[in-house]
Amino acid sequence: MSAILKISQLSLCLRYAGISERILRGISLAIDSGEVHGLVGESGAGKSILGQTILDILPRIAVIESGTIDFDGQNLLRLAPTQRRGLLGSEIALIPQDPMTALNPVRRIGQQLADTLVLHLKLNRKDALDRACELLEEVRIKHPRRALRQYPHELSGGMRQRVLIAIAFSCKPRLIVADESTTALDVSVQRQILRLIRELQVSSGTSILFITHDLGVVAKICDRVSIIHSGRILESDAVKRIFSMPEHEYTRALLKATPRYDHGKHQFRPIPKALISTLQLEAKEYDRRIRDSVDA
Amino acid sequence: MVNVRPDPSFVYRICHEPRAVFGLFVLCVLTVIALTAPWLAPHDPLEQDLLYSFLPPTWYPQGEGSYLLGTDNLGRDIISRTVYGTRIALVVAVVAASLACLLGTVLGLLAGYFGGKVDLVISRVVDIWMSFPAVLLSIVLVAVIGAGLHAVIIAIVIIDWTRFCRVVRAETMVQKELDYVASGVTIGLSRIQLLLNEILPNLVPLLIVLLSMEMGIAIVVETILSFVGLSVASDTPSWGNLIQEGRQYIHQVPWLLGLPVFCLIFSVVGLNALGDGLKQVIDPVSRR
Repeated sequence: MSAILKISQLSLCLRYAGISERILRGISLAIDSGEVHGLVGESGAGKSILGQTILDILPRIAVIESGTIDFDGQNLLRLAPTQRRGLLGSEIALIPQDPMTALNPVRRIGQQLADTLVLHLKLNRKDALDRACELLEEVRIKHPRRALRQYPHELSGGMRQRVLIAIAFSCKPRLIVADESTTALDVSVQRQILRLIRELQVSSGTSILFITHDLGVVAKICDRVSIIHSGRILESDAVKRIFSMPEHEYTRALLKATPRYDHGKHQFRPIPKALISTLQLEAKEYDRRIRDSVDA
Repeated sequence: MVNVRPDPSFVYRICHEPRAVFGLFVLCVLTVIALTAPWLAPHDPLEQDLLYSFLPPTWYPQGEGSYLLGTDNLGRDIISRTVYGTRIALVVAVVAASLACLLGTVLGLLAGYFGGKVDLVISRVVDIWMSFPAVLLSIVLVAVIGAGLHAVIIAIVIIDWTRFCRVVRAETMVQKELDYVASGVTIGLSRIQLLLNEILPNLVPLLIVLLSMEMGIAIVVETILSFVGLSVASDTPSWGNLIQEGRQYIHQVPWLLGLPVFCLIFSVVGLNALGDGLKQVIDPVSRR
């Protein structure tokens, strides 16, 4: 299968008031078309920043140092802003983390859904609203006609996440970045939402980059997974292999640190401090090498 | 369905906020008076009757039945003149406040959203603008543009857009960092679309509040300029003109001042209460 998204040697740092902190250190990652690719890491590993880089919503202090992001044969980082904006929503979409804040509080659900359709599919407002109604049905919202006229605060978190999923899939994009899309939901709703995303993904053939810190979620939805720490990809493989024969020491520690109800309480072990400091040392080593090569 | 605890409707909340109710009442009264002035006024406001000059209110022994609150130095009816003065006050309040709102909002949005040099230029202009004493500046402006109602309106817009600009800029900076704006970026909206379709609707409550307060301010400024003779022609009935005429005879016939001063206070207090009340109703933070 051909890769729809190919990131190579991507480095990025945050610069503020003369202080520079590297967040991504030579990330290389390929996502095949039609695959759900998990990106797993702790807080601060750089997983969300990677998603933001793809979507062009980086904070202002972020500076991309090197690397390429090839989407469908063109380097996103080299595209003109208008071209890149043309891809967003139509070819690359986002399912955001927090459904409570990701919708505009003062606009009706229907209007917000219609925006994307009017913008990319060039529908008129009326057709867009009809299509929006169908989309809401596809994400199993019970009274789609009514929901179109409602405001975000009138819907529950799960319902809002469904609306956001409908928006993401509305133009049949080829890549969706799901940034911790189920983290803000409670566990039962989370399961429904994961199933919904998987179904829509299978029927549309969209690739998904699924950013999460939850290995349980990865096991449910992903085909392949990459483990990220300190801005470096440690390991990248099929989900089955990662769970059965993890190669990297950190992956093994991460698996052991996941509480599972079918194991005893004693099976749960935190990630050893020594391992974390080794990884951090390696990251510092990477920074030093980069600095040396620049100086030389 | 999921509609767990529906917010009480907007109308319901307004009805339970006394200040907003009072403010709306004042605004309605002013509007009705201004619209029905020809029917409401018992006399022609310009009609002079020198035989009946300085008539006291009707309950005084020398009072005349048809001149309820008496007449001025030229025998013109006080009530009729004040009623017609409402028209000028309201026109200035609505037009000047709306235009100031428009100008300030556009510049505030640009400064808040684009930041950087745009913000720097607009904010410095606002700072400098606000350091001028408002009344002095308006007098200078009207002196330059020439007296008249349009000049008064232009002067108010030029002076008071900064109030809107500052607040809108600050709120835009807050709003643009929120998640829904980032969501807007990821569906490919352009910056103008983000600004007008996403951010601006979130500023509407704020603008309504500012607008109602600005209407009160505009009425005061118009009265001041009338008072110093820089607004409408001096025989045209406006509250400022009435107050200024009343001032000349304050020792002999103090009742000339009564009604126009009451109207001025009534409308400004009412519009401020409207702004405060609406803020209470709209702003979820102060509602708690």
